[in-house]
Amino acid sequence: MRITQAMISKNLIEGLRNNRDRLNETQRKISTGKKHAKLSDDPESFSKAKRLSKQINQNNQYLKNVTKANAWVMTTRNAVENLSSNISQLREISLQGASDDLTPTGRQALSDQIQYIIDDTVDILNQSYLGKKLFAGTKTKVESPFSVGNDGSITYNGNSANINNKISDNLSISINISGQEVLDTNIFTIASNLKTAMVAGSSDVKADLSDVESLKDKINQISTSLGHRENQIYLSQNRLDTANMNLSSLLSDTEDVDLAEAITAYNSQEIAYRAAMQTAADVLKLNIMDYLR
Amino acid sequence: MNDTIIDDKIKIYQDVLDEGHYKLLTNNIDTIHSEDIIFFSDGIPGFEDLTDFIVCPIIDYKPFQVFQSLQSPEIGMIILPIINKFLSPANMTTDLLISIYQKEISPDNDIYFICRFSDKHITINTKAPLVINLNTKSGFQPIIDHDDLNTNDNAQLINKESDGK
Repeated sequence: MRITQAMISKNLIEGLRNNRDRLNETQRKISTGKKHAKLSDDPESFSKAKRLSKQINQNNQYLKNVTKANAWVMTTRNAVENLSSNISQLREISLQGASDDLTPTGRQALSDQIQYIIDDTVDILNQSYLGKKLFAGTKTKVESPFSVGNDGSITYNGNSANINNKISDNLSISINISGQEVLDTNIFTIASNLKTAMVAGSSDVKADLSDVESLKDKINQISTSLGHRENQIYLSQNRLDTANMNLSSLLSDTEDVDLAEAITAYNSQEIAYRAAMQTAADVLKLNIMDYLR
Repeated sequence: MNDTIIDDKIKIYQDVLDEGHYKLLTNNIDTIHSEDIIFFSDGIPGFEDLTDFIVCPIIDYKPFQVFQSLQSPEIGMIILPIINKFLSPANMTTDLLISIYQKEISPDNDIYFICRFSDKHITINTKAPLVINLNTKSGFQPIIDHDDLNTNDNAQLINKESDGK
C-alpha cells in the first residue's frame, strides 16, 4: 500500500488528538476528579477549607486597601517633592537677595517671585486625589484646605487627623500628611517674612536665610516619612500576595484530586504530547517545495 | 526544652500527622522524631503562628514532597526542590533563578518551590520560595524582590535532552 503524505498527516493528527485527550483528562482530574481518599469526605476539613477561603477574601480586601494606600501616598509624595522644589527656589532667591548690589527694582522682582512661590505652594496643598483633598486631614471633602484672604493671609480649613488604612489583621498605616503638619514647618510665615525682608534690604534677608535652610530640612523629613510608608506598603503587598499564594496552594484547596496520580500522569502525558508535537512539526512542515529540491 | 515536653509535643504532632495530608500522600506513615521537625521562627506568610513543619517525600512520585504543618493538619503543601529534572519556571532557566536567589539566600540552604495545581497547569511560586537548612533544622519563606519573579509562575517540563542532563 502506498503511504501518502496525507495519510502520515492524518495519523499524526489523530495521535496528537489522543495524546491531547489523555492530557485533558488528567488535567480535568486535577481540578475535578474523584479520589478514593477524598479530603472532602471529612466535614471538618471542609469547614476548615471554608475558613481558609474566608481568609483569602479578607486578604484580597487588604490588598485593595494597600493599592489605594499606595496611590494616595505616592501622590502625596509627588506633591511634597514639588513643595521641596519650591523651597529650593526660595533658597536661591534668598541667596540672591542677600547681595548688597541689588537695586530696589531688582529686590521688588525677587519679592514678586516669592509671592509666586507662595501662590504655587497653596495650589500644591489644595491638590486632590480622586476628588479628595490630600492635605486636609480627614476633612477630605472641604472645598479648599488652604484659603487665601484679601490681605494675603492664609487659613487652614482642614484638621490634623490621620487617615488610617487597615492593611493586615494587626496593622494600620497612616497614609496622609495633614495640612497642619505642613503649616507647623512655618512655610508660609518664613516665605512671607522673606518677601518683606527682600524689599527692606540685604541684611534682613541674611537674617532669614537660616530659617529657609531649616524649612528645607523639615520638608525633606516629611518626604522621607512618606518614603518609609511606601516601603511599608510595598512589603505588605508582597506579604499579602505570598500569604494568598500559600493559602491557595494548600492541599485542601485541591481536595478532590489524587495529586500523586495526577503528577505522574501529567509528567508522562505531557512528555508524550510534546514529543508527538515535535514529530508532527517535523513531518508536516514538508511541502511541495521539499519534493522539488 | 526538656525531654518530657518534647515527647508530649511529638505525641500531639503524631496525631496531627495522622489526620493531615501527609497520610494521604505518603505510603510510609512513620513515627515522628524530634530531628524531623523544621522550625520556622516567623511562620510563613498567611500562617505566622505556625512554626513547626515536616518535609516528607511523596513515595514513588519524586521529586515532589509534602510540606506539612505539625500544628495544624489542614496546612500542607506540595513542594519541589528548585534543582530537579522535572519542572522549571517557564520564563527563565533554573540557573538564572539560582543566580537571583544567591544574592539573598545562603548556599547552605535547600530551596523549594511551592506548587499549585490548577485545571490547566502546574504553577510555582518563584517569588517566595521555601528555604530550609537541614543542618540547623530551620527554615523561612523570604519574599525576593525581583521583577521576573512571581507568586504564581507557569512551570514547564524540563527538556531532558538539554536542561535536565
